[in-house]
Amino acid sequence: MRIFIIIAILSFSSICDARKSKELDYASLELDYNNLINNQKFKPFGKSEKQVAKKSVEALINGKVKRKNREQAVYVARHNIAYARLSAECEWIESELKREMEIAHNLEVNISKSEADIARHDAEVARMMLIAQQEESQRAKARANQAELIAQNSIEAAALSKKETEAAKRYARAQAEEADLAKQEADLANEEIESLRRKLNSIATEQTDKGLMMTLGDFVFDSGKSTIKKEAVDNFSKVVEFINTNPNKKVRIEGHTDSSGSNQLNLKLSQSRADAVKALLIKNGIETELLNAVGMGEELPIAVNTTVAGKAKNRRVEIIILN
Amino acid sequence: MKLYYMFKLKVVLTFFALSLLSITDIDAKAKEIDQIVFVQGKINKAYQLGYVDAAPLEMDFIEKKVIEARTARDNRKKKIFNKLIEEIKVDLKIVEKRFEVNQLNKSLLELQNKNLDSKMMLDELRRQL
Repeated sequence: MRIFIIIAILSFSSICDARKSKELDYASLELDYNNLINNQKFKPFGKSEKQVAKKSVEALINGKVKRKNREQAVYVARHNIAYARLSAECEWIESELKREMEIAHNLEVNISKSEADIARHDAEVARMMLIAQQEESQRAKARANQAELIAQNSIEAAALSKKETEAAKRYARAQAEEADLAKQEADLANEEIESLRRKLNSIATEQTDKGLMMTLGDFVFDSGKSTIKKEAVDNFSKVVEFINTNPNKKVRIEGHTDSSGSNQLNLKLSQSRADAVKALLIKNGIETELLNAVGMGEELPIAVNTTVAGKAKNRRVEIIILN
Repeated sequence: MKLYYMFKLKVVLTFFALSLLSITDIDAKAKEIDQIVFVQGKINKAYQLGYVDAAPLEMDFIEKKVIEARTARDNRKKKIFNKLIEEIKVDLKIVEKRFEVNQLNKSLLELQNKNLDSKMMLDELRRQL
């Protein structure tokens, strides 16, 4: 009897232990499973494997597994949970890989774009540098040309300077010669003036039928003109003095020419010369009313018109103080 | 005469029964050998593919379970044998998956590093621009 009681107690104890162990196993499985399905990171992944795990766990919890197979079923359920977790992780990694591959693709595209941009930029820089080099080369060439031109100009300038020096020397010599000539001319002019003055001073008066007459040679006029030479004007005092010696007497001024040229022209020239003398006398204070200027032309020559000396004598102005 | 025939029938039936038992036993043993060969093949393949690096402990357990399964087969403990074979198959699936996860993780890490390098390169290129 005692033996039976002991056996019964031991059996009951072992049954209790087995139940406790079973409950612990189930709780552990449920916890594992809940951890798996509540994991936010792996939630959308490993759905079929999670379903398998769920079925195996539920079969155990709902008592659908035979007692003798329970231990094996717990093992398989635990592995199913682990497998589902690994599958979910696998799928998550695959999705991450996909995402990273997209990123890699985008990066590759961007890198290619950037490299292309850089290549374009480099090409542009190279092109600009080439242009700059070409410009620099052109500038250098232009500078060389300019330098060459300057050198040539310098050479030409030196040559020109030499020529100019020579020209200056020639000019100086010419100036000197011109000065000599001017001096000679001045001397000649002085001589001429002196000669004219002497001639004017030496003009002689003669008594004619008409009255006292003074003859002015053609030396007092510019050649072929009716204007009186300045030197003659300045030395006209002898003539004025001659007239003033016989005050209040009428004075006749007659102009004469040689036979060169037409008669009409000679008449006109003689009148003009007589008028010029009259005007000069008026300017020197002789009263206008006393003076009468007449052009006689070539009509009254005092010498032959066939020689130079004769013609010179015929070209004259006679101032006659009328009786 | 009747007893003789009865005895002969008993002998024939016994022989037949024994033959049947022998045949079923041989068949069961052949199936057990097939299972062992199957899991061993899978284990060998796992070693060849390098699964052992991904789950060395699990592979160690599997090896031990294979030894236990052989012992159970030799001792004709069919239940234990079947349980061990099923466990080995489940363990192998886990090992295979773990290896796959490791490989994928490795690829992901490599790609992430590559992307990081690419990003740095892109930043550098943009800076050049």
